[in-house]
Amino acid sequence: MVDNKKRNKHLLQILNSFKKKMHRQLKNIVRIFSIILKDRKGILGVTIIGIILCCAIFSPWIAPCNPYELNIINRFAAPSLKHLLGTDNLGRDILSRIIYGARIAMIVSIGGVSIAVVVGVILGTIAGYNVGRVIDNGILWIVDVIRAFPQIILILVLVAVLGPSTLNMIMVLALTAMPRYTRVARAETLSIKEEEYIFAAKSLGAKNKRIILKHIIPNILPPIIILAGMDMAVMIMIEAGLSFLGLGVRPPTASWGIILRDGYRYIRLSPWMIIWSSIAIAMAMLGYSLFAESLRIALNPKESIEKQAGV
Amino acid sequence: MPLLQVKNLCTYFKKDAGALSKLFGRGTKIVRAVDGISFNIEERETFGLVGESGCGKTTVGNSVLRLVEPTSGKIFFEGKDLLNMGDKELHKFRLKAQLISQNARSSLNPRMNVGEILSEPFEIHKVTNYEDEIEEKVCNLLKIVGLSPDDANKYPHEFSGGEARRITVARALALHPKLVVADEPTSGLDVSIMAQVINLMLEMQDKFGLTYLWISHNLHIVKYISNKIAVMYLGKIVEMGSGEDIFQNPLHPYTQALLSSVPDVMSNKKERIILKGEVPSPINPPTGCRFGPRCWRVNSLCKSKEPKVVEIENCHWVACHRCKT
Amino acid sequence: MGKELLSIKNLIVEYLTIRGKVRVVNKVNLTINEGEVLCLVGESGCGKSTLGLSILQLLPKSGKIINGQIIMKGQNLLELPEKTMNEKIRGKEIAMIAQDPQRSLNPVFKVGDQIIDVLRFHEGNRDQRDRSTKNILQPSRRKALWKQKAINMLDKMGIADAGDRIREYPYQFSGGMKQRVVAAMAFISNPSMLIADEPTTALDVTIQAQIINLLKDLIKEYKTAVLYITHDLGVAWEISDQIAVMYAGSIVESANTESLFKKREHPYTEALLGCLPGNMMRNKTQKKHLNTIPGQVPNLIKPPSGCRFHPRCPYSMRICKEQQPILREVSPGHSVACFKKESR
Repeated sequence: MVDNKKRNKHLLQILNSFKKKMHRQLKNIVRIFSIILKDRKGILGVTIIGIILCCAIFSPWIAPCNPYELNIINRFAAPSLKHLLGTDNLGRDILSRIIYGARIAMIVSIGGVSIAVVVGVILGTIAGYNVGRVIDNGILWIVDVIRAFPQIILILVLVAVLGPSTLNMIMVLALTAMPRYTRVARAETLSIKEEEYIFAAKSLGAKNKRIILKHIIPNILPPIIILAGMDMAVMIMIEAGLSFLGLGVRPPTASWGIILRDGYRYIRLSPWMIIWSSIAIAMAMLGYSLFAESLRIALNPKESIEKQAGV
Repeated sequence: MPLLQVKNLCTYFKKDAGALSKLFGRGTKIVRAVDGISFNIEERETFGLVGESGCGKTTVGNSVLRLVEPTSGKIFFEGKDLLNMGDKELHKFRLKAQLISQNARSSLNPRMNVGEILSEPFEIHKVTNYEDEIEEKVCNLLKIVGLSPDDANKYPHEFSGGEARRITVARALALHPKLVVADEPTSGLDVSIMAQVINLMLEMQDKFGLTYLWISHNLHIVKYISNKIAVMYLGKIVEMGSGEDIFQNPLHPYTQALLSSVPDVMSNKKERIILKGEVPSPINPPTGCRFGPRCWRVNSLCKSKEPKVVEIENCHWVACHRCKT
Repeated sequence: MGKELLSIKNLIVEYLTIRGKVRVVNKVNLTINEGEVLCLVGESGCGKSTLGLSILQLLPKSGKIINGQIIMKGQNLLELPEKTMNEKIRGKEIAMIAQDPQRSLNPVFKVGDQIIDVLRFHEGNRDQRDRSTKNILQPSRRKALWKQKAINMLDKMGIADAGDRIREYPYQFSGGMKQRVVAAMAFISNPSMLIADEPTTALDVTIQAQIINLLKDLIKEYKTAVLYITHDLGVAWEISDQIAVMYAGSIVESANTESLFKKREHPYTEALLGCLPGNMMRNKTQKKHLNTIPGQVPNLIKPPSGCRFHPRCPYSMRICKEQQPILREVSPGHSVACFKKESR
């Protein structure tokens, strides 16, 4: 009985401390966002990404029509009240397809980048933390081999071999993006490794695992986060490119790349497909780039303080 | 039995030469940071280690705590051989010997708040599994060093230099160690804050029965607090003795020059010993006595043979050919 | 000493921070005479570095000079346009030596080039004339002349083999030598005033002694006025003719060096000098503790009312909480800003 009580108390405390940590992280995120929103670039970036995210999450509710509903009689229609952006080659509403396309864009970019970051950071910190030259060199070797291939060609070959599908695309994009994070994580780890607080932790008796998880990783995150922001823009573009080549998402799934491809084929009959899909892709990339830039300023203590003071 | 016994400690660092240099036969360089040091520290004593940058005093502190692996020599802590300890015993040793780093700010993880920083020693050594007990201990620590328990939620950059120093002192004392290696604990602090920190550390020493290895280049402070002082130059101890001996009767020329260089308020030092040149590199120390090239009493014996540390007077050691009784 | 060279009147400098405006320099009045070494002493955060930077208008973006005049040779420096400041004042009339020699030198340029750069900037616009023939010098002869000047200067600073060393990069110099290079760059234009912001804080004690010795010789030779900013009272004693003690943005005491250290009129000066361990030695039996100043340096966003030192002052009276004392002469050449001392 007493044992159970103790265990419950212990579990409660773990939950409490977790809540406190989350609360602190949230405050941190709010603070960073407030700095980002003080700047025109930041406001624009956050707005654009916000809109795209809303489209992605709430597509069934926002989209005016069913993106898969064919209406061949009404194909290549110009923008009208019923179809705000016009219809495509099969009479489907372009606006709805673009809204649904945001889903693919978000899933691919966020998914791909997340996997790349997690794997890259783990490999990079292990390589940098001096667990042995063999492991360090081994990881670097793998990473360099991947980087030796031109990114586009590697993606094309892998997708051609594995077959076009959303999941494959995410995996492949993550694989080709990972080396950069490994390199950055390794470089940052190498420099942070020599910092005095790492030394202090060692003098307290901390083991390597603790040092990597609690001291090194939280401190290498800023450049990684910024890189991730920029990478998301690139991934949207690559997804569009792959789908354009027919190696990405399979039709009839609505993806910006596919709309672009169809628009390219039928450009003489209707320019609207190309116009709207290009604008969508460009806006998404712009939004991510602006956001990444303001994030960089917000995470750099000196610049962010000047921004906050209104200088 | 002395708490810490160091015999002929040598710590060398390898400076890897690039491939081209190796091609030209200029292989790996060895930095002889600490080159044959011997001293003892008794319990509850404050042992001051003085010297300028490059003399190796920080490396001595790190070697004694095995944060840097010594190359040769022997270190005995509480009679046990430190350099041959296994991992488990080393972990237990860390409970009893702590480090206060030179730069207080940079020895605090900027992304952890003070509460987390101070809980870390307890978490590492699994002192207790209960969060609230750890919180209580952290509050106590903060009160002991003169900070408020509310500060546990703040981050290091929100504190001034003196306060950051107090946090590092609190962290070092968390596990009630026996030996504390204090590496320049007052550097970068203002005079009034320096006085506060020194008072705090002396108070802690009285309260917890601590032994300090106090590494500093500030001679006034070392004179004030130390029982025994050793002066280092280029990896070697050149003079060692009590505070009175060193400051009132410095025998080694380097000690004399060092004491004369320190600007003293209200003193009328017309005769200043200004040393020529710079401290030579520890990669290629001069042959014979290392201080020879800058010494005004150097002779041919000094240039050829390295002097040994010899007890000239009672408990006053010097390493100098020109200082024989 | 000579006549007045630089006069700071009622200077107010504020920084804009996240938490509001911070008044770092609070109505400061200061005068430096020709050939005189004035030491500005104070602890961190008292505003001494800001004062030094304000003279050359080198404050960071968040710092603004709100009010005041800095008059040199009849001109208010604060009214000069940036171009004139750059061409005539900075590095020419008033030179500066900063604290960290590591950061004062550009790591990718040779040391000689950096010194010649100073000459090129200040003398390059004027045509140089050959001493003997009075013809205008060709650019190549000019360069050679400058190079020789640089070598001579480095030699004077005590750097051996100056001719070879001007071709080296800063990383090849030690801390003390880097500071000598910076001193060479400062003195090469023969400035009438030098601002030295803690030039020896980052150096070892024996090197510090060398540099201070060097500075003393140079000051004697060039008859430069010096504003020497430091927190080290021992150095202040060594090098200065006049001392001004700063606390929380105001000057609290100003006198000639010997007089200040002997009389210690202001309570802060007294307490500060009392903190030094001096010649004390602590025995195991005697439990002597160092004197400290209780409390902390005040938060300058919401400074204490009245005299900024009053919360920590052992002599504070009621008037100290209400009004700010002004610097008043209590004996010839010795001024204090303190109500207690005035009432005597």
